[in-house]
Amino acid sequence: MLTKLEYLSVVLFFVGCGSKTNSNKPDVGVSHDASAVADSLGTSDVPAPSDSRRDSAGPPDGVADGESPREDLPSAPVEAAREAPTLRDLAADDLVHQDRPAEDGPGDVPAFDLVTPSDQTGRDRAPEGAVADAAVADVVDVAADVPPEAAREVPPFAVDGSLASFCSGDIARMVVNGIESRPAVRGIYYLLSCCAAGAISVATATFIEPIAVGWLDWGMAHTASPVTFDLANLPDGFTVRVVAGCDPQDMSCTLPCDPKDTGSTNLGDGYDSGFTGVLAIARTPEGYDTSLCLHVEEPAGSPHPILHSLDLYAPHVLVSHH
Amino acid sequence: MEAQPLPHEECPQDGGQSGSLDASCDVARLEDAVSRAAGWRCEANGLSEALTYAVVIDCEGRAIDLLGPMFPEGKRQAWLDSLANDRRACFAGQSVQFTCKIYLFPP
Repeated sequence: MLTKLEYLSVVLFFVGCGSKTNSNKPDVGVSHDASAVADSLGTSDVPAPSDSRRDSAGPPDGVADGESPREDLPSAPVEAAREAPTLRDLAADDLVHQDRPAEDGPGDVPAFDLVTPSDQTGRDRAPEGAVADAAVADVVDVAADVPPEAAREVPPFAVDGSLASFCSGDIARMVVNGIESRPAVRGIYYLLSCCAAGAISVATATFIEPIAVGWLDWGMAHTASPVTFDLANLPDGFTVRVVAGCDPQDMSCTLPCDPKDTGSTNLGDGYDSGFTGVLAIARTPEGYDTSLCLHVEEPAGSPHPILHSLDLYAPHVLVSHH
Repeated sequence: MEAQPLPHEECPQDGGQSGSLDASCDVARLEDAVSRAAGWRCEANGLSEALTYAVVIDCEGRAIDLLGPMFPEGKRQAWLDSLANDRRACFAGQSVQFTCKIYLFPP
């Protein structure tokens, strides 16, 4: 028979062991968890989310950083499952104007403030503070802190599948024909009779041809309010086109698919379909705030002359009429 | 080429055609002028519906208005001023339609 004092000692001993056991549990931390999942999936070369955040402030074009250009692409399922609403979630709302609070909070710094034209000098690195903000925004849902004004201007933007980790953070990135780069990004506003339209033009030192992604909303039916489009299932009246090989603002540019201009010597390359990813558009006093996550590649047996494959992430590009 | 008579204009039979200032009835010159305003290549017989303009010509053959998207403010008047000395008697009393080709958004 134990005395009260002995009984208490035994109880305290076990309580102490329990606490110690709990404290020894592996952290359910982001990078550990990702590595474990990657190992279990047989993709142990998948970088942890912390790696992708490092990539956001990573080296400029032409610096390999010990990684092949597409190594970070397969990490998508790991991050997507934990951090972002799925593309299917967005697709369900596809044509619904989304006035609900944004996923990203005020901590997000618009990318057009961060991306600069230099690819080679490292000037396209984001300020450390901004990257830290981006890292926090990646994992913390701060929608509750978004003021109503911001919620109207920043549509939800999240990607599922293989593009999920590629399309994260505040820095534009691109993989064109298998070569990764940090492009300079520019928004182009189109003043048209028929429609709302804009484009994102990218330039990088590692790919000589200009590339642009344009969108056109016939009758302005879809972009009156913030909206996110599933690029694989665009609604009627909304078109997206990718062009390469000619400055989209050059009046002399034409495409092979334009029947009137087959004799032109200034032909480019283009895609009208076959896209995956998302495009978010929100009207602002200056024009449009657009975020793009896009993948397109030439169909088997139908090679394109310039652009064989393209992954492009361009967050918060201002398409301004100024 | 699509040239519509202006509903409000009743030009005399010789509406401006006898004017000594008649610069040209060549639509290509007007196409060039509209293209300059639009920033895109515009044609009187174009196919695109994305960007259209109409040049309003009065009975004396002067371009008196440019209808269509124009940005920024003041650009329209500057464009009209640049054509002030031209007379396009062939189009007197009409509005001439132009459509513009945009590389990213072909017809």
